Amino acid sequence: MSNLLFDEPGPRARRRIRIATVAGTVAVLALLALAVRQFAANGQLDAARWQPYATWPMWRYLLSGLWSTALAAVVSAALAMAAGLALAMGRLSRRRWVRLPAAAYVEAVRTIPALLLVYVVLFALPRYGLDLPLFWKLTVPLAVSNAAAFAEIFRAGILSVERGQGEAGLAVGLTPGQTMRMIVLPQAARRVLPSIVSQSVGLLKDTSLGFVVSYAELLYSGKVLATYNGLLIQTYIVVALIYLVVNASLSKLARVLEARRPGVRPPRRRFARV
Amino acid sequence: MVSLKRVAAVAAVSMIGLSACSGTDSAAPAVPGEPKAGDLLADAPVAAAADILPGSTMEKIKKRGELIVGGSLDAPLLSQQNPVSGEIEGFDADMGKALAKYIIGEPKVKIVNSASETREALLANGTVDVVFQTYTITPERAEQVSFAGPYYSSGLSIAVKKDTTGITKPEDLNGKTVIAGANTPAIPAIKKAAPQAKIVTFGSDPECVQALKQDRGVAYVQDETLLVADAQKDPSIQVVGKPFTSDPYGIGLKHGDDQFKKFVNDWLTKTQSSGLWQRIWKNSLGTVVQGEAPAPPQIGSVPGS
Amino acid sequence: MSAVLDHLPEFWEGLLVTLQLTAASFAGAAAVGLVITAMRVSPVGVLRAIGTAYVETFQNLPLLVLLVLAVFGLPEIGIKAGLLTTAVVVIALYEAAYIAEALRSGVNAVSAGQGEAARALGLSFGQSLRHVVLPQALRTVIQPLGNVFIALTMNTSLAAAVGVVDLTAAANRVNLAEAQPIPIFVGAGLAYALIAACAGFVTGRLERRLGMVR
Repeated sequence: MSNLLFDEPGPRARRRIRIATVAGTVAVLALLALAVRQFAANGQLDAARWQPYATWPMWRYLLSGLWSTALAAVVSAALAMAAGLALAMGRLSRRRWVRLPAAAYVEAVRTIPALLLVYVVLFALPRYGLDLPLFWKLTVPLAVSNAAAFAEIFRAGILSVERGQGEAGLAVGLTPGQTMRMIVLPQAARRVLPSIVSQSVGLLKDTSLGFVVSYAELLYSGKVLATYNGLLIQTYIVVALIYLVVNASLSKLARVLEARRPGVRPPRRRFARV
Repeated sequence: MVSLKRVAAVAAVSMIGLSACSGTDSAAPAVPGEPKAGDLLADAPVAAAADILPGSTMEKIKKRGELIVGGSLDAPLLSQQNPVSGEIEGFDADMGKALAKYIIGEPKVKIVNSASETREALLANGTVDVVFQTYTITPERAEQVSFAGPYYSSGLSIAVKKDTTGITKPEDLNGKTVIAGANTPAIPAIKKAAPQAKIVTFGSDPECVQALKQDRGVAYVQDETLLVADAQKDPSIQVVGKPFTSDPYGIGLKHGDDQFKKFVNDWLTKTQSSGLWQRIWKNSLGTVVQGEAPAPPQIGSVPGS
Repeated sequence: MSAVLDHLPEFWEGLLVTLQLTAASFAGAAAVGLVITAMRVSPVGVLRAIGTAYVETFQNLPLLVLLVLAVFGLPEIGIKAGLLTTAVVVIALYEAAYIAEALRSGVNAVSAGQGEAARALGLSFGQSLRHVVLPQALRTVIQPLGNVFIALTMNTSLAAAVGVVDLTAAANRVNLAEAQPIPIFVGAGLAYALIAACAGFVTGRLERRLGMVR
C-alpha cells in the first residue's frame, strides 16, 4: 500500500519528508501543549483533583463497573449471535415466508437507533406490564439491534463457503441440515471470526448506554463516582482510558486473527456503533 | 506545566503507599455520613412480633430477611453510593434501613436502582417492597400506588453563578435557558412557573453544576437541599430566593395494601417521636443545612397520602 | 395517535435538529476522513502514524463517552461552543475514523498501475491522489459510505444524552408528558427509517451511475 502513491524517495524528497516530519511533530506537540496548559489554567490538573484516582477504592469501583460492562457485553453478544445465526439461515432459506421476515427484520433494525430501542424497553414496556430487571433493560435492546449485524456477518460467511462443499456434503448422503451444521457452518465461522470480534468491540461500546438505563456498567459507575466526588472531568477521562485499553486490545486480537486466517473480507460496516 | 509536575509528584507519592489525603483541600471529595448507619440505627425501634400480622407484606419481608427498596445510587445526601465502602448513604437510604430494622430487626436492604418512570410498575409487579426516592405525593400517582407519609417535605430552588443578576424568582426564568436534571420533577415545575423558559437537561447533578459553570444555562433548578450542598462544595455558585414549590415526599407502596400502609405510618410516627428521624436528618441533609432538624410533615396531611 | 399529532411541532423541531446534526456532521466527517486517509497513504511516516492513531482511538471509544467528555471537558481547555455545535464536531470526528477506514479500503482497491501511471506522467503525490486515485477509490466505496451515513444518523440520537433536543429527545419529552409510548416511539423510529431509506435510495442511484464493482 505504502508504495502505491510514491516512489522510493530521492535526496530532495527525503529532505522534504524530514521537514514534514518535524513540522507535523511540532504541530501536534504544540496543540497538545496548548490544550494541557489551558486545562491546567482551569485547575483541572490540580493534584487534588487526580489524587482519588491514585487510590485503590476508586479503581475497585470502576473495575467492578468494567466487570458489569463485560457481563452485559457477553450476554448480549451471546443472545445476538444466536438470533443472528437464526436470521442468517432464515435469509438463506428457500422458503419465501421464512426469507422475507428475516430480511425485513435485518433491514428494519439497522435503521432504528439503539437508544430508541432502549427508551422503548425503559419507558414503553413497563406501561404494558413488562418491566424487565435493569440488566435486561440494557442487554435486550442491544441484542435486538446487534442480532441484525451478526446475521449479516454470518450470511456473508456462509455465502463465502464454496458451493462444492455443500454439494459434496449432500452427495455423501448428509441431510441439508447436517451439511449446514457439519460442513458449511464450521468453515464459515472460522472465516468470520475477525468480523465477529470487531462487531463485539462495537457491542462493548454499545453497553455504555447503561448510562441511560442506570445499569451499573463502566460509564454509569463513572457517573455515580462523579456525583460522589464531584470530579466530573477527571472521572470521565479515566473511564475513557479504560475503554480505550480494553477495546484496543480486542481490536488487536481481531487483527491477529485476521492475519492468521486467510478468510473472507469482513462484510462492510452497515450498523451504527455507539 | 507546573501542575504536570505536581501530578507526577502525587503519583510518585501514592505509589510509595501514602494514600491518606491531606483533607484540607476544597476539591477533595466530601465524605458525608460520618457516623455509620449501624451506630445511627443502634437504638432504632423494632416492631413487636404481634405487629407482624400473618400473611401480611411485613411477614413476607421478615421471612425474606431483606427489604427491597426502589431508590437511586447517585442522589447526593439522599441516596448516594459510597464507592469506598459500597454502602448507600443519605436521608432516603437511612430511612430505608430504619424501616428494614423495624420489620426484620436488622437494617438489611437491597436497593433496586429505578428510573423515575418505572416506579409504579416496580411496585405493582412486586419487584420492590417500598420506594424511597424523592417520590412526591400527588393525587394522580395515588391512583396507581399507595403512599405512606409524607416523611419529608422539600422544594425546588434556583441556583445561579455568583455574578448573575436579575434572577431571584422563577418568573425571572422566562425567556432564559434553564438547566435541569433529566427526568426530574424540575422539568414540569419550570414549565409551570416559567412557560417561556428553554429547558436543557443533563444526566446527573455534577453534570448540571458543570453546565451552569460553563454557561450552558443561566440557572439550575433542583431540590433546595442538593443545591445548598452544591453551593457549599463550589463557591462559584449560589442559591437564590426561597423554594418555589412544596414537594411532600411519600413512601411508595403497592396500591391498595392498606395494612402495610398503616404499618409503615405507625413506624414513621415512632421514628419521629423517638428522635430517630431527626438524627437521620442531622446525619445527612443536616450536614449541609445550618440549624436544627425541621419539624417533620404531618403524616397523611397531603391529598393522595 | 393523537399524542403524536398534538405534539407535531415538537417532533418537527426535533427532526430538524436531527437533520442538522446528520448533515453537518457527515460533511465534517467526510472532510476529516479524507484528510486522515491522505495522511495514512502519505510518504511521511509521522503523518501515517498520526492517521493510524486517530482511527484507532476513535474506533475504540464509545461515542457517548466522547460526547460527555467534549461537552464538559472542552470548555476547560478554552473551547466554548454550543451543545449542538459540540455534538456535531464530536460526531464528525468520530465518524471520520470510519470514513477514513472505508476510503482506505477504496484506495487499496485501486490497482497499483494507476498510481504508477500517474507518477510516470510526473504528477506529485497530492496531484496523483486528487486526480487519479481518489476519484476511482470513491466510486468503489459509495455503498460503504452510505452505510456510514446511516450509522451516523442513528448515532446522532446519542446527542440526546448530553442535552441536545433532537428527534429522540423530543420523543422522550413528549412521552413524559403524554405517557403514550407506543405511537410516540414508533413515530420517531419511522422518521429515522425514512432518513435511512432516503440515504439508501441516493447511494443506490449514485452507485448505478458512478459505481465500479471490483
